[in-house]
Amino acid sequence: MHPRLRKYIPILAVLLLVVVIQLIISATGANYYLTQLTMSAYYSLVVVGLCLLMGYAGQISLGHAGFFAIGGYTSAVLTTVNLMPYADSSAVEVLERLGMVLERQDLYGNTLLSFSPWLACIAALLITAAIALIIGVPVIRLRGHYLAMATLGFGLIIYRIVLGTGFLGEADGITGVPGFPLFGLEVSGALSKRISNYYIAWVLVLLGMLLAMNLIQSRVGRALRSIHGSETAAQAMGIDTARYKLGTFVLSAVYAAVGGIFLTHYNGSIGPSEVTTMKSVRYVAIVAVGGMDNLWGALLMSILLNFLSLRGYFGSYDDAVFAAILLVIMLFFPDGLLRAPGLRNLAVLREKAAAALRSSRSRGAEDG
Amino acid sequence: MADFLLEIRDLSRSFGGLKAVNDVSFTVRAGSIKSVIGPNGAGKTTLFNLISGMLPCDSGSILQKGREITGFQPHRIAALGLSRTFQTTKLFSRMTVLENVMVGRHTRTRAGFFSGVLSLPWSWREEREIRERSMELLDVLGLADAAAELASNLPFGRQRLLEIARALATEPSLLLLDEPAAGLNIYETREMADLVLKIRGWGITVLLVEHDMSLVMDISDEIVVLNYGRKVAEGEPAAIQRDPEVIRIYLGGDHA
Repeated sequence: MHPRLRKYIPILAVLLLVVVIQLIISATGANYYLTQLTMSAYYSLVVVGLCLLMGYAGQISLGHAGFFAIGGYTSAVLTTVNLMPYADSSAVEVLERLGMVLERQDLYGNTLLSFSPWLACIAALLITAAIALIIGVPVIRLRGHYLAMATLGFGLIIYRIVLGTGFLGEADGITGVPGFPLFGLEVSGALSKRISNYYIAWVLVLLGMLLAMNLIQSRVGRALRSIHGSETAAQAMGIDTARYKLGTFVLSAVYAAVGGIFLTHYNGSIGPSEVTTMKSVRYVAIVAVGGMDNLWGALLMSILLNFLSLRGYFGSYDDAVFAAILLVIMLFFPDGLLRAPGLRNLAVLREKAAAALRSSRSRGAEDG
Repeated sequence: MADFLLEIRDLSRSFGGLKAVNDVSFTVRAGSIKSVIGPNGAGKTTLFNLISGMLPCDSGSILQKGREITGFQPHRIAALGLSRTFQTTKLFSRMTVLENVMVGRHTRTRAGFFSGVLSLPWSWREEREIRERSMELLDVLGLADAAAELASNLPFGRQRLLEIARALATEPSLLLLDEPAAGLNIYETREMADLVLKIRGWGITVLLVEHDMSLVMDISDEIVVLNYGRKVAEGEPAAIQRDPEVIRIYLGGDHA
């Protein structure tokens, strides 16, 4: 197999596992598990993006729930806003003709005129990227605690904005968000679409993983890892460290927004509980427990912990569990659970395998 | 004028009350090896940090090929062809030897976030080129056998070599070597001297900060002597060795 394609084997393996899990769950008649696995997948998109930022660029963000919310809320607002009062205006007519404004019925049979989910999605991504860029420019110059506090502040501001803004639904959030049409399928929480939605979510996550893996193994990824290794030396090699950190910050915000957008359309709603600081802490805890610069570890932990949390296994201690996980990891296993003592041999094997793969790829690349 | 690759004019930098670099001026001719010597605390490394943009200067100017580069960010200076090593090696320890050198190709390549995320075909070609050029450099410096090792696993002497390989990968016109022989034994120092001469042979100008007198006297075309941040002498090695002020500094005040 071409060495360029060899790196996609893990993705295919996980896809196979995803299929097997679905078959087993459906065979045992426990399809309700698929709902939590779907939601976990969307949360995992946030984790994958944050893993790029924390593990590879070496920057922390305690405000990623904020980006998730900007994505989700923007899409929710645009797809639920009623443009009927403006239906006669030429602007709305033009948008309608372009397919950017759609007519639909709400629960009570009233006709609504709202922006199409695709338009809303693109707008949400652009707005998230723009906000990440605007706050990223000053914030990314900070390091360590200061960066953590600045992003924490950003998350808190988004939370208060959501709670205090009428058209964002204040404490109630936004409900009645329509499904998201996707190549003949639909992202929605309808029971009949449970299985297809499980696959949509997983394909999105694995696509996110694939793009993240591409990035890590590219020139940019190498630059990011070098910044993590020694920022001074990276600069001496001609790497504009501020620019790469900022780029990763924006990219990871976009990952969070994608998770927010699709989970909102899946749930049909979004509320302030998605924007709390504890949500941001939760994402950080998951990346930490996964091993920081370990995308697969982060994904595994994300699915596991989010699934348990969504199934209610942590009861009313939900937030406490994640805070405790973060504390324990920071104190005892700063390299993540998968590199914990006892499992360290496993980690050594992993490093060796990775080094062998890299060198075989370099040989392969020379041949090819 | 034009054959000065680097010109330092009245450069100064203080830390609090300490004038680490005080009104220093000198030039580096293209294709030469110039060394900066002086006792501990003479301001040699500060001077390097000023030239490479890691520290801003208080006053004075730095010109590369007659063009002002004072106040440029370190990454811009590196991209302009001034590459440096560090007194205490700063390798990317969790990356392999080969990857370390590949980072050095950064300024000569261009794949960005977009092509990285999508792994676009033209970026594969660029990656292959980066890999090949980096392997060539490892070959030349005798590190090819360790290409797949983690950089932190190399013995100290080879780590120094790797840092030089990484700096050379940027295709510099001026290589700044900060005490390349520090911590090396006598044989390794000899090899380092040969390597520096070889680098000059490739048409790369070298500015060297060094403690090891024998190394400096053997290979330098010109020497600048610093003491307490000031330039006290400049000239060819033979002249420097006879300079009474330099002898006083190195042997102590009583012998003057």
